[in-house]
Amino acid sequence: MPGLQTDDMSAAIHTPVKKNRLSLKFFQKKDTKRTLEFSESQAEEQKPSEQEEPESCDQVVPTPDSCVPLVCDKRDSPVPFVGLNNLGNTCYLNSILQVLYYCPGFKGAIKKLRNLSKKTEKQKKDIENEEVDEEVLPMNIELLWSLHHLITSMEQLQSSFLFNRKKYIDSELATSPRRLLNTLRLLNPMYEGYLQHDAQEVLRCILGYIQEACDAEESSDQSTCKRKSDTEAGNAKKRSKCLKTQSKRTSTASEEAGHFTRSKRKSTGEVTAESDQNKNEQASHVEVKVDGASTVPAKRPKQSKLSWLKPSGKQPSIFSKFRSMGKISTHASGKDAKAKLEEGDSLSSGKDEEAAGIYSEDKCPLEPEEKSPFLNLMERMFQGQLVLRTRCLECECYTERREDFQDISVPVQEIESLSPDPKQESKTLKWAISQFASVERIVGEDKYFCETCHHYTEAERSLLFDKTPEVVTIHLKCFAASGSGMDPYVGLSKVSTPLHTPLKLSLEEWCTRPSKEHYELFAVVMHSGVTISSGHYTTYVKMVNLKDIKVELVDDSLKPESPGTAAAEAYNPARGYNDGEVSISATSKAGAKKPSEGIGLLGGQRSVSGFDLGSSKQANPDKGIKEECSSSQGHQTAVKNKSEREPFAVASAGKEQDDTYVENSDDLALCNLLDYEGKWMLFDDSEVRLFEEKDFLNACSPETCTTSIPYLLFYKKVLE
Amino acid sequence: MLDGLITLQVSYVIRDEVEKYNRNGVNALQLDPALNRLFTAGRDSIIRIWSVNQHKQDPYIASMEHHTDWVNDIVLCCNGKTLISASSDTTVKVWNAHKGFCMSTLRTHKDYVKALAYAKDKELVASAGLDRQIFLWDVNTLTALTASNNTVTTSSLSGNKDSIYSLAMNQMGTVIVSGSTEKVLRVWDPRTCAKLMKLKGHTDNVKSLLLNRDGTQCLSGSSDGTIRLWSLGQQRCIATYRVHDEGVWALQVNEAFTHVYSGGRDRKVYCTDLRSPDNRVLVCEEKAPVLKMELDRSADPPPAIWVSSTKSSVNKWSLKGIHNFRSSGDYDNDCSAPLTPMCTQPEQVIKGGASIIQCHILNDKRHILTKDTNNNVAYWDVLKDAGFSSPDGSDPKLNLGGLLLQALLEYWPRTHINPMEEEENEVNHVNGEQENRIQKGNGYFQVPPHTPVIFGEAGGRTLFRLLCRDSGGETESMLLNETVPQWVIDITVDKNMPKFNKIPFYLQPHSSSGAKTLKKDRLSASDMLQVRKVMEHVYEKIINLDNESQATSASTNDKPGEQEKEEDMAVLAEEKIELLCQDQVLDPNMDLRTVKHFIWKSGGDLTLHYRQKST
Repeated sequence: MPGLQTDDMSAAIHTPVKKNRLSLKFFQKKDTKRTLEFSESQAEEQKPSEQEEPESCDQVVPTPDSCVPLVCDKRDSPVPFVGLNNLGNTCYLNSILQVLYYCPGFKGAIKKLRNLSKKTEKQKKDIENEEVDEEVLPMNIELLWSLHHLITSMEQLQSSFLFNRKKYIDSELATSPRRLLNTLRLLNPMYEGYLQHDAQEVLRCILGYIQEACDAEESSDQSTCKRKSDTEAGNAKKRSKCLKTQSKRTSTASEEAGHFTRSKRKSTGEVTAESDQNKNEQASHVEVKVDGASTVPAKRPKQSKLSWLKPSGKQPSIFSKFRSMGKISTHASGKDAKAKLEEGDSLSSGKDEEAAGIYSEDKCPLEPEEKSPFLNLMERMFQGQLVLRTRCLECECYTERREDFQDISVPVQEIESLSPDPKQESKTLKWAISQFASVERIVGEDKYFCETCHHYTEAERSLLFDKTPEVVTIHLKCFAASGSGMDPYVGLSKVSTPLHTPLKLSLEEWCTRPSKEHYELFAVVMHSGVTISSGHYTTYVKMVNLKDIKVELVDDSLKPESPGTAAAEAYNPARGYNDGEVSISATSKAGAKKPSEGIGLLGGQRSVSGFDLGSSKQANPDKGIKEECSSSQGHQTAVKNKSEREPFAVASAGKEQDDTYVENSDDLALCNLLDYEGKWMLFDDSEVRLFEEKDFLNACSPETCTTSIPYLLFYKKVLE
Repeated sequence: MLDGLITLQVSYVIRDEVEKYNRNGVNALQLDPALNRLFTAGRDSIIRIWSVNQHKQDPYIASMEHHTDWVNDIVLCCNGKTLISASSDTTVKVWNAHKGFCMSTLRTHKDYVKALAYAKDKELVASAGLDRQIFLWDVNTLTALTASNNTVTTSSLSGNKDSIYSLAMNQMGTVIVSGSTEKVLRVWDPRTCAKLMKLKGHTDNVKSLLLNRDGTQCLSGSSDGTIRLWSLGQQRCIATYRVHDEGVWALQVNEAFTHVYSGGRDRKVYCTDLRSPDNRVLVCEEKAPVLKMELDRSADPPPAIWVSSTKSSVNKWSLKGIHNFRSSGDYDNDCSAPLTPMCTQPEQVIKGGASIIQCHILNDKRHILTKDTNNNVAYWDVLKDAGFSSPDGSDPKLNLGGLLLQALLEYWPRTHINPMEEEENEVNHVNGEQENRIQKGNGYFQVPPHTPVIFGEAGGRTLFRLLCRDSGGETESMLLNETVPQWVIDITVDKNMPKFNKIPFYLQPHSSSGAKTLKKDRLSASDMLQVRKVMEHVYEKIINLDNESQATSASTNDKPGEQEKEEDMAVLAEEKIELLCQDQVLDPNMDLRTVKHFIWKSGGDLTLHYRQKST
């Protein structure tokens, strides 16, 4: 197998890109055919149950009219969510990427960060008056860019699918994280080759690199500013200055405007009209809108609020700036609105984030002040703080030590009973967390010397959450070292007694201060298989705020990176970057399919039994040969669809009728998507399947599952 | 009793003969209404007796000293004749409260004894502590104990899962309640030792408990900041009072069980009407967290309350204003508004002294720096302050520790051996001291006779405490025979000072002198040998007799008797040469052990370099 792969590699390096595409397609066809054969019998078996699916949908979607056409749609085509192709045992990466993609606020943040880095790169160019080669990007920035690229290609693929459903019938809706994987491999050689890796590790890894990129961004930002003022006295400085002042002015104006548009948007519920209009209108308008958007999203206001509470950060300077311009009242009103928004619908937030994302496509200059809220975004989203508190029982004074945490590793069963006792009673997550944050007493012979009492006293030591992140990652320690293993990895055997996984979680009892926050489960990474170095990872994600997804018709004129075919789009990430990279990515992709096939046959990688046990009623989505579709065609179909379905589309979505033509097709597409609101999707590499919540819970629960058990739980913060 | 594996240590206390003031927080208070006396149990390990007649100039009457750690609780029994105390030294002691001496010591607890409870009608006392045990004691049996007849039967109540911090028994002795870090109250019948119930409700440690006379109602104060009223009949909490911002550490209640006085970490003392909790009065605000309170029950309603805190002074606060207030019915019902204290000045103050809050032992293990609560810094010499005045200069060969030990036990008859027939041997052992040893002590100095001497496990329980002058007493002498560890016997009875340790070292010319490196001679000397002596050796044997240097290798120190010559030599040597270790010039007063420990620092044999002074 490896021989074959290297052959491909060497061949591909010397062949032109176009040929690669062809060869890739060939491989893909072969591959999908294989999968088809593989799952054919299943699909047939499950056909009757497939019929039930739309009915269960009816219960969720309030407008029955809209469902009728959807039923046929669904039967024929896969669900409108994009899978990720397995590039050779990369299910660990795919499962994590799907979680991140659906992680609230993450997409928008990546877009912003990417835009920011793009801008700084540009600035560098301006200053140095020379071409900065794109390929000399720092690796962590490059990771950010490739992540951004993956996200946009997933979005585009989804949009084009929604507009152009027919084109995707019998095709697999999937892209491949090739560029990201390559970057990751360059950053960390551990991920080279086709070995299975720990999903939790790769998550830490990716988030770490993004944080590094943010840090680099921050420092480079400062350095460029410095350089500007130091060296370049001439044009560049002037330009930047006037740019700054201008944007400052507009930002303050936008504070009002943003507030205004927000409320308007809230009432009307329209998203895209503005953005589309804005695109065609003057830049200043766009900027206004954008600025409003950037302050609106639920994530962001909360975050900025957080940083206002904190004494550090750059926020005070903004504040003073506003004050100096006499706009403080406006600012305050904006805050109020934010607060309202937090209380109100978190739904509109996603929408605004999307809008913000669109804005970044328009490449409006970001204000420097705006950077700070999301430069430490990874920290705020995923990083919390723990307090180790030692309290003297005599005087009740305590000392504290603080530690940052990214995830909580909790046991799934009691340590003393790790022996293979099949009658293990499965524990609750609450129990697991209290194991993690248990109170320890310092008593008996070794007392605690209290500095206040000047005496040896008894003391209590407890671990508490001081700051809780937006997203709490709970890592279930499913792998226990079995005695005999020489190799530390091989020796880790899996504990298959899963915890009872609650949909809602409150950390209040382990927090330093009372809070109204609680957490909702939005994604689960499942592991099936027996050891940490083998098995298969899949991801369940709950689809929420679907109506806020910006379904955008991809236009060739607007998008330089047009989605030709799904596959082509997927492996053409570096358009505009160097050709060498493209060819490598293409070839290794082509090569990668084969090893994965082989490994799959060996039973290590894809365990079908794993998700079959998940008691799925749904059929595997039909798979077929991918068809090529041009986006212009897609547009036409969408328009056609729109005219056919207009009445119910309007009724169901509750949108205003005076929308533009494109608007309505968006609504329609959205409407299709809305059927999946609140549903759980199983992402198994390129396959995406629908799960009802009860089925999902079944899959997670200990009764039905033996090999496939939850490994990482992702909870997002919900304010009440 | 003495386990061979446990190392025993001897300690002594440098202090004034009479310590008139509480030197630290006061953990417990008891009033003797008949004699108008107040007993305070201090964290300085001393129980003091005070006269509370206000006209008296100096309230101090006496100290009851026998504990060696915090005294955590005291109860006055037998109408004020007997006092029982519980301490962090893990003992419970029985005292004659009138005369102030310790009658017996109960050592059943294995950890700090934190709380006592007393049933007046039955003269029954219970003790409980961090070892989770509760012991019941019959006071009449305890007071009848003598040194020879010292066995006492006790019943114990077990079942507690966590360290006990509070205990209460009703006056009739029918119910006993314990509060612990388990957060539940456990209730027993002391007559049968049967568990009666568990009461759940508090969310933190329970630090204070009270029972009414017939044992039907219980009040508890907890670190969770609440006071709870429990009905033992209904086995449930009847009311929860949230009057404090922080933990409630002390409770008192009037005879009728209608008004509770509470104090705690927030330094405030409140009086709360149990029937209408909104009716609460802020009695006073202390300067430190309140540890204990004692109602002056000379009249009803109580005219005053004594309050002790983590500071050393004890204050008496008048309650008269409150009763006026109460009768007028003009309560401040608005709990949210900050109350103003009824009293701003205490009616009476028992002044406290300063306590040491920080100390640092200097490298010579002889001098100590301390800081006290008044921010005074003091410099102590553990020998001088114990009475040591350096005899005939400072002979480096004197084992000061050994001498001190001899001084501490000089009244112990066992040390007064008749050495006549052993004299020859003895003289050799004690490094040639010309002693006709019939006299006591070490022959150099005496420690103040009031110095307390404590034998205890290293870092653990105290076994025996006595005053230096008391070691001649019959009982003490007997107890010393049981307690004193062998290594102390060696020194004080057998007069065997520990041998000096020999350490090997090398002497080489310093590289800067350009002298040829001699063959490495491994020398050996007592680690107490001063650098001065080595310099003499160098001057005498190497510089002067350069040619013969090879011949003199070993002993420099083991040849006493050439004192006069050496004196001159020493002066000369110090003028001419200096010794270095790790390129650091050595002080002639340093001994080799110090050089090795603080300058050489590394392992391997100590290497010293010598060179002639450049001047």
